[in-house]
Amino acid sequence: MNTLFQKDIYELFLKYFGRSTAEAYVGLYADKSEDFILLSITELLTEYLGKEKAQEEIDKLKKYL
Amino acid sequence: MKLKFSLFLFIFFLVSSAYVLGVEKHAIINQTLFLIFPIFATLTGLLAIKTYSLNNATGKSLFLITTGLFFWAVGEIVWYIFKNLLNIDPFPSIADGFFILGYPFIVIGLYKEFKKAHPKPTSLHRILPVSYMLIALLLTAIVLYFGVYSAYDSTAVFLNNMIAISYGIGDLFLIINLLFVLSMIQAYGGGRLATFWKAIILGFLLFLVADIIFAIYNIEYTENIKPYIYIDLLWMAGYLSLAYALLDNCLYIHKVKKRIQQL
Repeated sequence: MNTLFQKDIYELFLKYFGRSTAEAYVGLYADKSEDFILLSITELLTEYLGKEKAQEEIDKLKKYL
Repeated sequence: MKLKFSLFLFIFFLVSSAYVLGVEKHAIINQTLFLIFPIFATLTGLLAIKTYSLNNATGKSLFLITTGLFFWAVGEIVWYIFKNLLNIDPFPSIADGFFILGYPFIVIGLYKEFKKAHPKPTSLHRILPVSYMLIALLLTAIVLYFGVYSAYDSTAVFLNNMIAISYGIGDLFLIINLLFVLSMIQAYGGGRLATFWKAIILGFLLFLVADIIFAIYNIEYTENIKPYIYIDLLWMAGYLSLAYALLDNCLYIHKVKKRIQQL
């Protein structure tokens, strides 16, 4: 998986969910596909940030794919 | 685990009943109970800092907000000691210093969160509906009149006037904070984070209303006269609202972490 993409996901989780949750997410990189990761992030962020802000963050992430 | 809002309401009504039904000579019991709330709000702030850690923007903002709450809690405790244990008029005293010191920390903490939601230079009037701006203007006028203009006493010494007016100025900053928080609710739409900020805004709004009423009836309040003493209930509800928001958000973050681990 793209390192920049991984780093950005970590930063995103750190920003909104704190370090512990960000570190938990890093564990998923090893055996999950990018599509799965993106889908799960979209789901979590939409619930937490609302549709519009979540989409804004997802669009930023997609630049690294 | 889902935090029950009804539990917080129950606690509030329990202590409110003690205030309303209790006799005046038992006021010290109510005021002792009151201290639980600012301490609880500070503790939930510490839990929130632990959840986010200090190496990111939210953790740093929460640290500032919690520091402000801590100063307010110390102010409440010192006020309580002066009033109930030492039988000294708590105004003006070091307690006021702690209360006033809390404001800049909270203001800066909320501003940092606002910048996280709106990183580019943004004018509040472009984000917020006109009705919000009008309410803020009305509140500003009320605070300027009761909290600044009426707080000035030409017969009082400079220090007393400075402290009295500082509360009004702190509240003006609180109004600006409310606008920042409202803009965050707009930014986060219908998400869970918006709910968090709604509870925060309710908490600060309750503080603001309590401060305005206190500025008008501070003598009656200090003499434990009913119903003026019920101003405590507004401050108490404010602390509870902040504590609920912080705790509920922490529990939600833990839930998210568990969900991730189960993926």
